[in-house]
Amino acid sequence: MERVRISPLQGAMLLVTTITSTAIILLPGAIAGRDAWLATLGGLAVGLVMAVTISFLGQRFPGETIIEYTEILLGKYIGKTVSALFLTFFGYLAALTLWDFGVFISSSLLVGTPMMAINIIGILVATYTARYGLEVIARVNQIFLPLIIISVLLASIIVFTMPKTSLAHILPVLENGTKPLLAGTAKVADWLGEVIVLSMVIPFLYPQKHSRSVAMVSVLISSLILLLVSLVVVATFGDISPTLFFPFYSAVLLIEISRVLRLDVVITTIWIIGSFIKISFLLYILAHGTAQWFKLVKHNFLIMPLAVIILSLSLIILKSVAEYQSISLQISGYLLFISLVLPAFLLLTAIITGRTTGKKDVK
Amino acid sequence: MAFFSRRRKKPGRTSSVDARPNSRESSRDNKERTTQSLLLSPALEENLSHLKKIFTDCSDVVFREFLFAQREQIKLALVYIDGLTNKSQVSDQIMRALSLEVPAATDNTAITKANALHYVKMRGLCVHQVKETEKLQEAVDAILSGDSILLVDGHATAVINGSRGWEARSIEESQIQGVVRGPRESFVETLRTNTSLLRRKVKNKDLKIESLTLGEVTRTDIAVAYLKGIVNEGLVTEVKQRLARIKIDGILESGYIEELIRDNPMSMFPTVGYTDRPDRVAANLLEGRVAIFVDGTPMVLTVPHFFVEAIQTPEDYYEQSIFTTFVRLLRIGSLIIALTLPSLYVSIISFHQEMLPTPLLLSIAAQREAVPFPVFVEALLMEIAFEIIREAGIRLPRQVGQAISIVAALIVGQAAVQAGLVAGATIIVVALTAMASFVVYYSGSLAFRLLRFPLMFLAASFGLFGLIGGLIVIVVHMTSLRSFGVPYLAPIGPLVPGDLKDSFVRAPWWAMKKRPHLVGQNNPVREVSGMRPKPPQSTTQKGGDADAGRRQN
Repeated sequence: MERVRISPLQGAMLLVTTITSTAIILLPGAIAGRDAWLATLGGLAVGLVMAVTISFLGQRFPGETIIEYTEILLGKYIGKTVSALFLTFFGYLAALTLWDFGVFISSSLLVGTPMMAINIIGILVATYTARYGLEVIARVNQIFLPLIIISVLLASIIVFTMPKTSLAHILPVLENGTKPLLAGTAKVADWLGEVIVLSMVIPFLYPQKHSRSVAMVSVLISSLILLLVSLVVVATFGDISPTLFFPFYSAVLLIEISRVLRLDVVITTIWIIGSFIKISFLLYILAHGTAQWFKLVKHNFLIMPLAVIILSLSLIILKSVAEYQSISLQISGYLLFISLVLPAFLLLTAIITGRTTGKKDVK
Repeated sequence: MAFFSRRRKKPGRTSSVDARPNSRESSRDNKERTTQSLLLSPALEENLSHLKKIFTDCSDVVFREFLFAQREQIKLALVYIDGLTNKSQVSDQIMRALSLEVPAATDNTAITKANALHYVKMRGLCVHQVKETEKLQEAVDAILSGDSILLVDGHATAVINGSRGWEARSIEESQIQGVVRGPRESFVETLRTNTSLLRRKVKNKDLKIESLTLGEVTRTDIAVAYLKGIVNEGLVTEVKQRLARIKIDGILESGYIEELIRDNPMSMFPTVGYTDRPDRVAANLLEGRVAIFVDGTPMVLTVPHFFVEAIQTPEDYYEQSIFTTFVRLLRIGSLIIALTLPSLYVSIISFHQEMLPTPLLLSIAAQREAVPFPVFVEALLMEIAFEIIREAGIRLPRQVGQAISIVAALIVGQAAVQAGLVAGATIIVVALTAMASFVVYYSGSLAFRLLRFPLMFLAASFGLFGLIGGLIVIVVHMTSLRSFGVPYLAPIGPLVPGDLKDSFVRAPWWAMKKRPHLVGQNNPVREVSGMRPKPPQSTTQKGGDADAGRRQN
């Protein structure tokens, strides 16, 4: 196989895109109402723990992905089972992202277009991209991420300068007690938990010693962006923000420059790029992980069938936005179990048994 | 039969199968070997009959027999191709010198038949470049490339005189990359003239120009030029390897070679650059690239070629850097317009009308009221019409150009709008797109010209969402391209921060200390640091203007 290498900067940028591209659309912290910014900070704390866990595991097994070292740590049968859990997690995440993507576009840019058509375009682009491999995904992301961040910043600044927006809306703090805050924290943490995809990328990082800073920095930057967006949303909508499904998009909809140009189309179009890249990246990781699970040398031929599976999953995974809202906390629980509890358990096992492959494979 | 024997041939079989001249290839090899190994004979008549047999039915080959000055027994023969040699050189410096002037220069009695060759070469020939050969094949090759061959009776040696000189286009101004400021000269069709133009730019022993011949039938001369010490040696080897792989009957233009040495043969994007400007080639070599000259075309290939080169022109480096930066941004804008404007127009008109200011939307709606087609069909028709006009503009005979431009402008433009077939806004969009595609490097914009159409289709089906999906596919494809192993989108993806100085912006020369990282890493430093010009110290110390004013009083 050809030698794939990405730089720490590219790795961090990929993680930022993975976390933020859907987070700015769905805004996980918004469930906490006025305390969304506090929820983001709480999520950041959990996110950093996950980042450290993943990078410690990566340092112990620098040449292996999480699929491989789970098996090293837990033995063949339990290991295979646990790594299958990770694989289903990646698949579920990809399907969920594609669902988000379809729902968002069919209710913003292309109202009335069936979700299936949108998802098919999305998965086609993702399949095309994923076939070119990690290096190309990383480079494409390097081109587009600055554009996405600039568009978010620009939109935030414009919304902030509108007369009705006021930061005073974030008061009072903890208006409804700690329950919404905890829910918001859990949701933010579940998004930041996507940092677990780094465990599939660490073997390709070069130089590898920066993997911990890659994890930390990407979680930090992602939560900063989320913090900014939460503040924008709360400053615009106050306590009605939990009722909005796409809070930031609703805020951007209010933008009117000299009463003529509506920026929302341009801005949302740029956000979509992030989702495209995220789905491609997850598809790549899923294919790579599946190949490793079955101990296959090549993974390219798996991309197409997996894409079909993800596409069908994305169409049946959730019936409606209302269903998502009602079970979103259960989803968060599942995602957090995989991205927080399992890696912590693996790390603990690694420390207790002292297993590492770090010595023989440092390059 | 040949098919079967080749299929059955396995490693480990006896070599008898290989030795049988059963395939076309090996029989040609045999024939070549016989001509190759043939030596000239001492007898002039025999040599001449050999040559005449080789050049049967070649009416442009001249066999001129004459006698050495005042020596009836020393026969000479000159063989050359009429039109490929410099006629006055052949008659004055070879024939006149040998048949009339040798006696004046040397002792008359010393010349015998046995030492005639020595006198011919050392005293007689007044040609600046002389080579000897004993092989028939070399003599034939020399004749075919325009040199003249002198055969001396009694000597099994042919003297090759460097007397090439044919009718050629003179050096003119570059037709494809014009500049306001900068050298005007461009390459011509003659390889040697082209390499001399390059050598005049780079007077350095490290400028290596290696030559080889490609094309089994055309025997086209190819030259690979690079600057030793700057270029990455691996790149030169790679270029030579890819060239050596070429086995084709003819090379008529550098485009043949380009298609045979590309990294991604099916991509629309050019990963091999070409130019007809010596200064651009020199600049490319100085950055660590390799140039491939092909005889018979003014277009010189340069590898590796990056996407950003589409927005670079030679003039960028001669004009001031701030202005150049502005022009480069303009070119990027043009590139984006050339690729996306029609599809953006289609998607806004059919899906996202709210993006337009109301007055503009109303006026477009009013224009489109009478138009019978959906906006996609309308835009597509106009784009195709424009492509037809453009193609006609290149191919049509000069004399009818005027007529065509009137037809194109009046009928396709104005009349179509007046007849209500297309909206005026569509014409503006198409015209702007067309103009924008000419701003950048010609072959760099070809891909974008084509990709407009699928993007328009996507935009018509899915609006901005389809457009952005298509754009991502294009960017992904471009990112995956490589030119001689170097990523095609180099300074942008992968990001090479130092090289951004010469991409969207052009830093002043004193700030571009390093060569582009991915091609020039062999010898990265281009200039000494600290060259930024400063005003002289004394002016500020003495008080500048005040001081000058006082002196006047």
